[in-house]
Amino acid sequence: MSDKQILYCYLPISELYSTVSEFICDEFKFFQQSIKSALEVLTNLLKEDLNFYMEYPYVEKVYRDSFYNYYSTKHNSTIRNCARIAFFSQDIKEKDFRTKNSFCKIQKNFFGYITIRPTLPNLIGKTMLSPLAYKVNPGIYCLTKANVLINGVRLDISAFPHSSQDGETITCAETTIWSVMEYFGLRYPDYRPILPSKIIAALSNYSYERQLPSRGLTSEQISFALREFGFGTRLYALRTENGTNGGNEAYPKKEFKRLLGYYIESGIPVIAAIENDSLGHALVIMGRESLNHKAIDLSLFESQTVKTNSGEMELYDYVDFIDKYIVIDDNMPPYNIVPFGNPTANYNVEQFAECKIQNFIAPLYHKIYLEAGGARELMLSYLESFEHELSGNKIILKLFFTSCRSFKAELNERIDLGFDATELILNLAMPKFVWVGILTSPELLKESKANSMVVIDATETNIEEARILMVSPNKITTYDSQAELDSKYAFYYPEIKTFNIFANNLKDS
Amino acid sequence: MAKLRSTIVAKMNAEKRISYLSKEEAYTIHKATAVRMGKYSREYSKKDKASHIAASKVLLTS
Repeated sequence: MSDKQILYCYLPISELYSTVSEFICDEFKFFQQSIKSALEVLTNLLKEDLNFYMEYPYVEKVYRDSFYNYYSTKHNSTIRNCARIAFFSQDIKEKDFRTKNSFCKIQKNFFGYITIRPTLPNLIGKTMLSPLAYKVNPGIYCLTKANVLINGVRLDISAFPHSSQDGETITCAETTIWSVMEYFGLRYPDYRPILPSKIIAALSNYSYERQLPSRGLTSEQISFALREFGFGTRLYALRTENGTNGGNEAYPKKEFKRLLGYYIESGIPVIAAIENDSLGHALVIMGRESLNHKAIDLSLFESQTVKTNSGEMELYDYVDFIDKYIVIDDNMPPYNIVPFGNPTANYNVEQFAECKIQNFIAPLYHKIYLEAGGARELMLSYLESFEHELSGNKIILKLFFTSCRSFKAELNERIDLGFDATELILNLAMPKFVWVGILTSPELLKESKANSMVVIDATETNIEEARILMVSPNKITTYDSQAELDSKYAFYYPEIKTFNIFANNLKDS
Repeated sequence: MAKLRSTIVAKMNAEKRISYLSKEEAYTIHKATAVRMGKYSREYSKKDKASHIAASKVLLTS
């Protein structure tokens, strides 16, 4: 135990730049301006009535791992410590941290933290910042909960892990892997957060050159690393007009955008590769803009004609209504909201102009065997084969997958399908994961309600074995492949109410 | 085991609110689905292969 003290300050956010710039000059011996642009962009987004608690030294695990595996091997001595800056509402006073009765109040007014690491030119390290810290909270997100100790008080924060790249041990590609693994590792017991050295180790058998200093990764390598960490990854590329990069037979734009949308609706953050003529960049898409259902104008969107037993229907895809996605981009502050067609819209650098999403990697639970496109096709097949008694000739499909646990809990707690219908579905034996297609009319959508859904086993790709559940306005249909030949399809006739649309995969803060 | 039951199915059965699709109709649906999904699978394989080729070409480093 040394007698070295942790240095700290608790100040209004208006003093953030001056404090941090003085700090990096005094401790890291960097020019004060080195942090200017990164902090300016962030503070412009943050609420103005915040205080910050800054402490130094702080051991940031991700940077410390890079330090021992890379920076410490250089001739120049590099500092191994970071600083941490936590944000609170100005209702919290410094004395509250030593008043037991105030701990709940501190928790309610805690918005997360950023770290400052001694790595020029990108000094902002691991960040767990709540979207609630921002002046404007424009979307719904995948968020995970982390527990931290700030000034002696244990605090929870709901955020998506973010970091800038240090450019030597982690570029954008490794940063996206770290960020996704940190998210899943904090959220689910099946995964573990990983450090940069583990990413390098996972890819050591798949690299034909030295791995440090990092020169970036291809999407295929990112997918490989995620698979090594326990995911059943799927990779989708956009069809290129001129057939460059082998992409002339890949997914057409509309299908590609929908597939991405389905995974985001499922609460799965995806790693997207964006490219223009001069560069390739990786980022994590982990949310989307909030939609005002009352303002959706169907005439602006293209429909697909579906021939059902009750006549032709115009099918609209819910994800087509979404234009803007929320991304974790290591060159920008967290929760950067961008149009699908221009993911670098918020960049001021010419080099990043006209980037497009060219492919994305969906890190799926390894037992989800039926991917999004197959689930949609199977649903359409069943839509066409049965009498659904849907009113009107326009229907909207909202497709996503979820765990059986979440599906049943949401059904019981919020959906309100009617007593017998709910009881019937809750008592059905279901697989661990299901694809859910919510079907609604334009009128019901305005009230965020629906009257039909199709549920498909996501752990089954052999359609001869796939279990199906369909809720129509007047009946519930189930398919059990293992039942006798004349009772494979059963029709149940409980009272079925219009129900609330599922919304538990993405959170608003 | 005797105490385990599914009351909702028993109740709906008693109220004659359950019916079944005949095996002929079930087979028609099954066949139509198999044809459609077979076609989808072939298309999907091409896109899958092209995706992997495209994903190995560009180094993501910026």
